[in-house]
Amino acid sequence: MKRASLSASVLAASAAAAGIWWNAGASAQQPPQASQPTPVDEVNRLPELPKTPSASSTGQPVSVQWVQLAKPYPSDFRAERPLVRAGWLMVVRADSALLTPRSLAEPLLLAAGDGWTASVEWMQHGHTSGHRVCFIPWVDDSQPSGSPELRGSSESIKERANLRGLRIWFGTPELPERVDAAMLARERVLAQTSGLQPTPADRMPAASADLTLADRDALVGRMRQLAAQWCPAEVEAEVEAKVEAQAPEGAR
Amino acid sequence: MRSTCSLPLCVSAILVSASAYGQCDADLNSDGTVDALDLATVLSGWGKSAAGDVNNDGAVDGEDLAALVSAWGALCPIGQPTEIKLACQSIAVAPFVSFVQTFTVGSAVRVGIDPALTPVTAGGVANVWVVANRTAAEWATNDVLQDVRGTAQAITLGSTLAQNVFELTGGTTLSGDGNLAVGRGYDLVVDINRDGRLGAGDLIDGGGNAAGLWIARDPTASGPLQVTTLSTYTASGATSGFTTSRLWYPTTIASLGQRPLVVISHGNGHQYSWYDYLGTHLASWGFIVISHQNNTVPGIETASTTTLQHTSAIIAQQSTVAGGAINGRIDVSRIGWIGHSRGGEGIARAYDRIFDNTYTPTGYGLSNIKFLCSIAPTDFLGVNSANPHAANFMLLWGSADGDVSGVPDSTVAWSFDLAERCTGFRNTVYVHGADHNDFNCCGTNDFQGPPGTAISNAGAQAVAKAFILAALKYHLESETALGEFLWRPSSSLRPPGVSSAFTVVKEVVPAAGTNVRTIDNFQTQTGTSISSSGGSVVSTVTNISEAFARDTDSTYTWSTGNPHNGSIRATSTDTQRMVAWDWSVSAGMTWDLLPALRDLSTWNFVQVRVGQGTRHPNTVTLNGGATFTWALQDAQGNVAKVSSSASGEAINRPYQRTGSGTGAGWQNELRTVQLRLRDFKSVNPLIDLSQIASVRMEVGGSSGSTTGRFVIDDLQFVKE
Repeated sequence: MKRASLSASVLAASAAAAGIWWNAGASAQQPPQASQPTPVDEVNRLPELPKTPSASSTGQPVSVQWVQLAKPYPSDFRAERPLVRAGWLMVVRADSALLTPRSLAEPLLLAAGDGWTASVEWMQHGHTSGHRVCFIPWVDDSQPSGSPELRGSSESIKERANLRGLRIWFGTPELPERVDAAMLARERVLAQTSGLQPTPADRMPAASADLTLADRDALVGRMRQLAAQWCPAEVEAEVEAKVEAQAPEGAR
Repeated sequence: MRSTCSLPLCVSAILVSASAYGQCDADLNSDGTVDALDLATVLSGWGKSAAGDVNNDGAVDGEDLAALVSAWGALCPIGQPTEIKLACQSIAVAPFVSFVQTFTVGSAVRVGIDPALTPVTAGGVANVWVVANRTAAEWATNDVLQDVRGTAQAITLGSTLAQNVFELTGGTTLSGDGNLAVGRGYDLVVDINRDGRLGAGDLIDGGGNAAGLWIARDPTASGPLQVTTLSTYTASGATSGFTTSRLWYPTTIASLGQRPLVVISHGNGHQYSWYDYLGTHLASWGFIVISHQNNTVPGIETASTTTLQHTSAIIAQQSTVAGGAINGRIDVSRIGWIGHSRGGEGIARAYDRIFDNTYTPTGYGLSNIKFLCSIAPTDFLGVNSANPHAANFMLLWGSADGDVSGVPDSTVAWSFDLAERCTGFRNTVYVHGADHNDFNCCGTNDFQGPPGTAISNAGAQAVAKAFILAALKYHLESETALGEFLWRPSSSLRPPGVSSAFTVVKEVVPAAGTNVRTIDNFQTQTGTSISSSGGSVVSTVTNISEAFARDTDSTYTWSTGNPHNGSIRATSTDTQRMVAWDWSVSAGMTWDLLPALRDLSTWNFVQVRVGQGTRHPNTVTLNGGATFTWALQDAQGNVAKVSSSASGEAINRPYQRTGSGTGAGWQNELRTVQLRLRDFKSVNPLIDLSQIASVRMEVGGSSGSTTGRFVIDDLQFVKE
């Protein structure tokens, strides 16, 4: 039986050294039975991928927070892998069909504001809750690739990354690691010609207090906290410790 | 019967019993003939339990004299026993016997003796021994036969192969317990002279180091070891946010020595915790297994990085993970990678990065990666990056995959590409009715196929457990007998835990080398009248197309302008080529062998990859399995023919999935059809395997299916 969701609580980000483990006898599974084709018809529950970008392939921010990192990291969501030091931590609500995990190319999650366009980073899909936790990295494409935005004060960077006229949308299906500056420029044009509208000001949530974090590990931890809050069913299950001492499945 | 009469008055009274024994029993000095020297031995031992006891009844008497007189002048083998395949199955078509190596526990095992290959005396009695496998050195120092069943089995020999097929008594109770090996090996001996020793004139299957017969436990079943699971640990050095992994290992690992490592890399939207069925299974058979968080969202490059990182991490952290239980237990020289979906492409990319020297892993290198298994992999990156190169590679894929679906209009969904790029040993297991997320526990149901054909998680996971275990044992632990699970058709060898109702299509292409003689792989000499090996090709089939294995019109609707309709094995930058043709009358394709390639006397198999052409009118008309006939012709014009049915079930039609055009039938599915060359001798003893001038595939008429369209690749001769 397939399970589309897991009942879970937050998995500790560093469960490592303590770890929890159990012994399972070789007979933990049922004795093998030759499986017969199911008599119940199965149907594809993978929703059809909507055409993107389109006027309706938008995301609605429901939580917004400016984040700065003491230690920059290279973004996996850009081909150039620019170093990132700051950005907007967001929770975005969208149509589940746009959020459903797919092995083939998924619609790029993109964001644009006044003078900038970004390839949005995210880890968990959000399809069961309709919410995706994401991070809009601030990348100044006028800088050489790999250079973190260092010019100016934190406030001035935040001003340049302002959310005036913010558009969050699902663009052309592609692997984020292939997105470069030229592609972002094309996607911005496509979004405009598709009729995508900015998020209305009255629907923008109030930003939470600015947050300063040490590094990407801390950013990931914060994203997991938000995921536990907004989409708990998708957080990887915390596994109970089990110790089952079972004899191996007999000598054969 | 013991005679009490004295020499020489009783000879005529007991001659009747002489025919009960092989003539060569009387060649007492094994010099190749029954003559005066042997008579002298009988006379000198008269009345005693001594040399000269032809019938091995404990005394030298009139019966022994009579047997010797009866066999006077017989020519007998001298020197070593004959090494020859004896273990076999009965099949429904000529030659009515299929010589194989591997049987599952509880299945009937038969011994077959072909008088055309090894002359035996019709009416003679011999003993069959099932002996625990011995190496060649062990046989050299110990020729005494000991049957694992307790006693040897007497058989009465006939004059034909059909008359010389004997089911082993107690064969269904032979143990398959090889400890951590899935199978247990035995040597089969036909003791012609019934002296209880392996010697001249005897037949042996397994006289070398390898066993002749393997009894295999069900590879879907749990292994003999208790498993300990560490639900999570943190991998040092892995990408932030993707550091968690799960570990399975045999609880008694401290007593097992070093064990191979298996790394599982999940797909997009999947979780590392979704492969417990596989991790537990493999650990119960002695592997150390991890399943790690995989960074698949950005793409394949990032996924490959987490595979590489986690492999290094578990090696580096083995002294601390799980309290040090696996410290020093990882055999770094034997690593297997399993990836699903984007993870499946990720492991190929990871291998490629090491190959290209664009990534240098810590703690292991390219030569340590002994096996890659990609489950329904994507193909985003193409031939230059998603490439397993010369690795041992297995593709596992379901026909009902609604995600990496094999649609003709998206090469990203062409999982076969990765297998076709591999230049090492490669095999494919294609399962009707399995979908993408059947191979994990918990993903969204993506089944796409005809109603009633879904095999669901349980069925797909049984297939995965069986064939992944078989491949790991084959490649990482040299359990060569398990290789037969990878290429023998299901009707011939099926894991008991995999339903006989499942259609499992298997293809195998061995790595190029001294054990492979390729007659035609269509990669060079691209004209249809010449093979890649340089010999001429003559065809009476119709609509031949030798071209890239590529559907060119983005639909599965049949079109004459797209002769490789349904082939999704080569993107625009791949170079894989095949041939396709059809028939509706008797026809065939004949490959002439260049003189240097004609001696097949030391070769074991002829094989070809073949499938039915998707939605071709002939395929639709046939509406079922297809067969053909192999024909070998030697330089003297002798011809031997064997039906492809002798190898197993017919070549199935494509999975009847609709979509991507009109009609039913999904992508082309190739299976390897393999036949032992000795089978041609069995049907025509005159055929000279040392001078085979041509090999032919015959179709139509009495040669096989009346109509059809085949897609063909890799016509080869292979050594066992």
